[in-house]
Amino acid sequence: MFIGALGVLGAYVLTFLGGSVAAPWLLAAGATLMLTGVGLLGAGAKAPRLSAAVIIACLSTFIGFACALWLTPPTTDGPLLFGLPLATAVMLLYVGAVPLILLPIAYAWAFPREVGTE
Amino acid sequence: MNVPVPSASLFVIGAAYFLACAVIGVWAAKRTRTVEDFYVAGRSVGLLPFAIAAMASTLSGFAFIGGPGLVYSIGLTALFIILPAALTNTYGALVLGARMRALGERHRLVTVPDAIGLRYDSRLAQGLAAVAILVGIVGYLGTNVLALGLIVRALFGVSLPMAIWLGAAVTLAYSAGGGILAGIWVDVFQGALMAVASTMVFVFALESGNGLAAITQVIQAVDPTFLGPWGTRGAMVALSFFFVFAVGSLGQPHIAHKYYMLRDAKRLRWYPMLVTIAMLLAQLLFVGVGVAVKALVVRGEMPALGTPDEATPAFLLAYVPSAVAALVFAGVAAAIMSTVNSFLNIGAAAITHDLPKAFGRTVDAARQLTRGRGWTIVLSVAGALVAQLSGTLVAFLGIFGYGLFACTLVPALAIGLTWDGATKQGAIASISTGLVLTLGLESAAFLKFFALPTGVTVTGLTLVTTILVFIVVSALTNGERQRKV
Repeated sequence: MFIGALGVLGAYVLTFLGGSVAAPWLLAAGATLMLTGVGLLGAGAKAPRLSAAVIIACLSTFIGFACALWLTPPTTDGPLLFGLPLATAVMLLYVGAVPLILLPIAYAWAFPREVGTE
Repeated sequence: MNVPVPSASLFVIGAAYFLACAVIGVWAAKRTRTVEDFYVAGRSVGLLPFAIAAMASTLSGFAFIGGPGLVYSIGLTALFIILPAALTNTYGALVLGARMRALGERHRLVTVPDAIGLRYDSRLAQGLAAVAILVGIVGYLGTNVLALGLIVRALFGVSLPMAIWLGAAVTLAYSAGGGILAGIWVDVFQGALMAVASTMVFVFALESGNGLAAITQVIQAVDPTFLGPWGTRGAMVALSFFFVFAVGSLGQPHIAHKYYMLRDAKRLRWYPMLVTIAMLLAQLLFVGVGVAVKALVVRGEMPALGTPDEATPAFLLAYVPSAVAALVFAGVAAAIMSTVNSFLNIGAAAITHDLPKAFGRTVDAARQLTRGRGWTIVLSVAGALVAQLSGTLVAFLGIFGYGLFACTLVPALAIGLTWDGATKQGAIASISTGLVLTLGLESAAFLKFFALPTGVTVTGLTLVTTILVFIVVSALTNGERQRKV
């Protein structure tokens, strides 16, 4: 989480210094690293299923951001996927759909053993 | 916003909606007898009402008016405000849910600053958290009461000042009488209304443009970046939104406070799934209307909007049957009122419960209930006055409120409750840093003393700074804590 926070701060500093192609990469990596840290702390040390779900969801989020940063910027006649520009659809799949479906199911599955309610 | 309205449908459905809120308020007021009833609904809320109420309180009028307008003006950059919900719907339960629920039951906690005070064994940390909540609430209340006034004006055709006081009075009536118990049950009604209205409008939005693919092709032909992955503002702005709304959502006190109210902790198991479905439905309008209106304007079927906030009203009045449009206006009022109710409740709790505790004073339960009702009235009047008198400042206050909660409460609450290494000194330092930096930098930016480069926001910068302050100060003072233990 600390490294993630430094990454976010680094992205902002680079932007202050006039911007760099590295800044969005640093912000994407820093933000997802921070969220991984927060999620792992929330899951606790004795929650392997929840921890695995958090890592997969955050990794998926970073892959989504990376695809959007990597793929060719949209053009006026670019290909569509699910009715959206390709890069947007891929990004939404990884950043939106994967965590949206995975995390609530993993939480419900792991709940009785891995979430303390007392 | 000067738009024609189908007055008969709006008036009838609007009046029915406000009447339903009043009836629920009277019912709840009769059942509110203790401080725990007033502030945490007697810890008696079932899973379904809990999930719907959490959704209703999370979404303010911004989801229905400001959000679609923002999508219309900056494209999918605005999507990054709601996209973090894919993670944060579950993160709320994972990080805060079970812990807050268990602490609340075991130690009879009723507020978020209570949890901070208990976690760090520090009255100062509790007091500072209460101050941060109170300062943030002033901004949030002003913004939301003004938005409510605009909706009441559209529903009943009265002047804006009259509409502001009318909206505030109805919200106040059930908030002061029934406290959060009334709020929860009105939220359930309001949340269901918001989800239904949003889903219906989304279908009409897709139909108006002959489906998503046709809408995309129309927009792509004139502006390929609009529906590109980062929207028109680019990757830094979009990712900055994502960071602020993903991490910041864990520090919103009106949501965290609700975990105390769940009757059975074991039911938390299904909460992320339910709240995810509810949020998904309620936010369809956010993207659907903004994108559809853009396509309609590009095709020349709708005149360009005077201001982005006109996107939803203009679309509703031109492309949606008037009864559905009236339902959506009631849904917008619902979104705003549920948020206002939550803020009135936690604001009154900060004044009557947290600040006296921070100064080492105890107030007996009966007096806390009476004072809670009294301060709910005072805060409501203050919100209406801010809405009426603050002019352009009101939009600034809304942004300021979210940022202040995020920067002051995420480290001490969301990270502090889960991290063993967190210390009292870290909590006090991070809350103080959040208060000073947010107040100073937001005010200086509003007064144009400086301008941040594109992609950097005061909230983003302050949030990452307070988290680093919390971690570093806790690490530096952790040895002393260990020695004492």
